[in-house]
Amino acid sequence: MKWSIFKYAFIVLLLVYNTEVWGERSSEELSALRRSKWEKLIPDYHKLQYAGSMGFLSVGTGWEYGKHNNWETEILFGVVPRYRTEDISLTATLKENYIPFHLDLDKKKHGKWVLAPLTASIYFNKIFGEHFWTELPERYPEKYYVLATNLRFNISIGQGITYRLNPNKYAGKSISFFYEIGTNDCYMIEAIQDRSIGLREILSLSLGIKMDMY
Amino acid sequence: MRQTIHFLFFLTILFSLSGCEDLFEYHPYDLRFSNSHINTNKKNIDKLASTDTTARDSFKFAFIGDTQRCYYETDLFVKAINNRKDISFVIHGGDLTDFGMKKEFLWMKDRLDKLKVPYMSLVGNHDILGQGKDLFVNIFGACNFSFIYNRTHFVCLNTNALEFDYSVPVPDFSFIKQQIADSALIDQTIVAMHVPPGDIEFNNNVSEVFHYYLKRNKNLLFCAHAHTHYLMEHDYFNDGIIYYGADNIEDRNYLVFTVYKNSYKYEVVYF
Repeated sequence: MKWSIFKYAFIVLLLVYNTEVWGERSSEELSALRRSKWEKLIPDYHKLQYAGSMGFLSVGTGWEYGKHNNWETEILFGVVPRYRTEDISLTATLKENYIPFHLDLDKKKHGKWVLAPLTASIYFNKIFGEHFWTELPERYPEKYYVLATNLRFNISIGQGITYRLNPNKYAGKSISFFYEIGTNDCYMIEAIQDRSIGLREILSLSLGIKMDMY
Repeated sequence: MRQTIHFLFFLTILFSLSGCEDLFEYHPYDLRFSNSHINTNKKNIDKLASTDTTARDSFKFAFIGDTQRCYYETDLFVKAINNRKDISFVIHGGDLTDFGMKKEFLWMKDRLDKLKVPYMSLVGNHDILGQGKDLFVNIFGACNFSFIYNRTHFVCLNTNALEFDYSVPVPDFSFIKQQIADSALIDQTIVAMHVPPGDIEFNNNVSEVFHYYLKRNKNLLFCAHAHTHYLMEHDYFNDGIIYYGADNIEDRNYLVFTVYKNSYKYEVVYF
């Protein structure tokens, strides 16, 4: 087991048990406070995404934060189906989304439809499989290949539309549909370095549904 | 903000209109592509065998290698070859791609497909990265293959030993022995490979044996390789069998071999 796991666990504990708020409180209050702190770790939404260079279909969960929930951090797991001689592959993605503004389409606060005219994302995708490596295997001389074959850095922009659900009827808060257009580090190298590879050739489309729970 | 919205909607429409098969990408290394892209080497070998059947005293073929990430130069090469009428076919010595990704294979294949003459491609060490070997095998064909043209046997070998870490025989002696046995229809042999003996990628423990086996092929004229990114001409084993190394395509040149019965000539052509 790697020591870094303990390091991260320690950081999470520090975040959760932020000492300044403890003060003098009754045990019930303390208990409720502790609970509310842990509740922050419960994901705010679930997501289903099609394509996006991280699998045929990916499912994941994430957290919203920032003043107007402008930021989202999410973890997704994807499946690349079997084609020809290849086996099924699994991928894991760590994704950060930035939504600079939301527009209430019903021209009032807390209307039914909300548009996200622009979303910007960066994400790391890792594919698992025997052919892939992150660090160059020992058999190679140093720096024989530079880029990890299993880890891609992706960027994308997109748009989304959200429908607010009636809280008395449904368990969820809202449902959103979105699309993203993106590319990855290798493709960018290809397009920048070679004049005959156009932007269109390195971009691909992705579609998704997001279910906001809290 | 309104402009942003319009711009993005415009982008979406542009995207849906372009309607390509790669509109949605599942993974850079997936094997999801149209069946029209498979078995390229075999298709070209069949084309060569069916369209060009006249027996002749001599013929010319072009040899290139290491076109990875040089699509523009590859375009120029294709134009240069299409402008001449004396080349019978082209052999690509491997490294079509830099990362072994599907898009790279298909971008390169799209360009080479524009050649009016048939072309066959060997596998390079970069083509094997990630899921690249599976992509190569599906798009081009087996890593070891051979064909006969004008009674000359072309034996194309996978010599990227380091990539396989001894899990697969590289070079594959059983394949080479099989080629030696098939000598009825041929007068002479030319061997092509990606990595030359002596390179760190090659299985140098067997380089002498490798050369010995190559020489057991009927009337071996010479060997051609890529990988080094320099023009090279080496008599590695001091026996008159020369290993010719093609430059990478970025340097805008290619090798042309003129093959006669029992002899050959070669030249470097710049474009």
